[in-house]
Amino acid sequence: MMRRLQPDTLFSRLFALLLWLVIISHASMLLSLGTFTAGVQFPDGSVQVLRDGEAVTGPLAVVVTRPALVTWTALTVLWPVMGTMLAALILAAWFGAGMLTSPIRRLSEAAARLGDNLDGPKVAEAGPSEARQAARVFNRMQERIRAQVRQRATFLAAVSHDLRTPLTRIKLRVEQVDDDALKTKIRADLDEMTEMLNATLEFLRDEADSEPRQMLDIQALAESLAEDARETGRTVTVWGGAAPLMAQPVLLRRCLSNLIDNALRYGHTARISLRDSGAELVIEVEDDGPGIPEDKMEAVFEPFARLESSRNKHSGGFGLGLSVAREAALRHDGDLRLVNRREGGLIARLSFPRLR
Amino acid sequence: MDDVRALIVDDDPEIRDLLSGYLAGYGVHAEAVGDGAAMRMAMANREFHVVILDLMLPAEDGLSLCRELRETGNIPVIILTARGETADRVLGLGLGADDYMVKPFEPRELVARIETVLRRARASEGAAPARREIVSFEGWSLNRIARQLVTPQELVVPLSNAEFRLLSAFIEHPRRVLSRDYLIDIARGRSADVFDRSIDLLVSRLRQKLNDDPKSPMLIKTIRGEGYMFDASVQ
Repeated sequence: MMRRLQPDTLFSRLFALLLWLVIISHASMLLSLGTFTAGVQFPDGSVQVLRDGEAVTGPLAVVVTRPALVTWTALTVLWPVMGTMLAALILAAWFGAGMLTSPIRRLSEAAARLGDNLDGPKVAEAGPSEARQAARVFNRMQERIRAQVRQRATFLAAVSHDLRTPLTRIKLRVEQVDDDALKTKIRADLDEMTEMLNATLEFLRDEADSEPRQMLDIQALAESLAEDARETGRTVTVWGGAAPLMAQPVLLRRCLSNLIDNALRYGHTARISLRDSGAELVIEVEDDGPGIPEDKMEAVFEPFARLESSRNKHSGGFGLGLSVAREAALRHDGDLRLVNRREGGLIARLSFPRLR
Repeated sequence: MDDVRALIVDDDPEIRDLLSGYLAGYGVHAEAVGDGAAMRMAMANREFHVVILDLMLPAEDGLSLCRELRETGNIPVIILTARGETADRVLGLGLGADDYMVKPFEPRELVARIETVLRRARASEGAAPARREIVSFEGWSLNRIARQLVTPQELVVPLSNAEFRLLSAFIEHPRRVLSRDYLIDIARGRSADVFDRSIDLLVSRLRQKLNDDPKSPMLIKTIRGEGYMFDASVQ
């Protein structure tokens, strides 16, 4: 209510305008109820009322008498009536202004919702015809944006999907190549392409909404991912400990596994450390790679971000790993931050507040 | 592999040729067909040990063919597909497929999976292995798609790939002694260097996750000189 009354809101402007209009119109109506009478007062105190065209001379004072209705006594008598009237006018102006601004308010609320969620409900097409029109236009725009986003996602998914068949053929054909060095190189290229495909499809699939929250053993999660990495010959260690967390287990696994993959892509070893204060759970993945230039710290969260440095000499870029990981952290009311280590290397720090 | 006959069902003629050629190099004699009708005809004429089935087929899709194979017999089925969605995986395994590979797959990995599936089929000798998405034992449950173990207290305990393979093997053969060699083979997966000792380490890690006291284990029992036995009834 107080927000409504700030001087720059549409509501307060309309309210003031309406209020002024009714007050002025009523005042002028009241005043016109009686006509003015002019007269002169002579030094002896006698008063002569002047008629049209009449003139008097000599030392005198001009008096103007108010019509009977608006004399001060009349005002005091009429006070309760006037008060009720004024209150009614203020009330009418308040609701009138509210009614006039409500379509705009609904629209702006809908626009705010649209920013957060494309699949939000439509704006009610109600109110005066201009408001209905605006709501209709807005709904059509939302529908179009939604269709376009959906179409792009479908298109990207279809392309990624259709690439799988030719990629399978190439994988089989490579086996016929005799040159072992060449074979290894082609295989590495193919693996990179496959990884990009999978990441893209995973990103578009968005199964995150449907996964239920369960108590998840964070320690076992870190240790099993480290174990899987060790199975492929990499060095991943786990330090510290953590209590279970209410989480979406598959999503959080993907998040942490992306961070470990990233660490191993740019460094040789990864070190996972768990810290649990009871108020906050922190999971850090450190690598011994080259780190990230300070001014690129946010950029790497963009899908398929690329850096000029030597960091991406192994692959085309960061892919979707960090985007997916941060999205997962945010879904758990947590955050993902990247920090360069002083002694070189990168720390990816996941933090989750423990809600009591 | 000696004299294994595989039937490939895939609508892409080049993949049919390439794959049969590749498998031949590993001693697998593969016949390749393009759709469900041809699959039925081939199976009426010859006996196969394993069916490699693509999901996206022109007339009838792979999932309905998989269901049909499961209803009419016990031949192992490996699904190959360009769709990697979890829902498809659940559906495929729910319909009784033995394994699931997403294109583009690693050809060598397919050979390994064929070996595993055949070995499993031989070991179970007709007894239908647990193929459901979620299997439970003694208050615990294992989600085979998400690869998650859930404790009786509803705590989700993630498993490493090797632990998952080992536990799956135990669950498929409850109350039977599994030899160390067999378990080493199962646990190995892609990595080649799983030694004799590391299977004991793996078992002890799995026991720890199952809260199974190593001094007097209730779930995974050590059978001295032979191997291990999973002593629980599996639903």
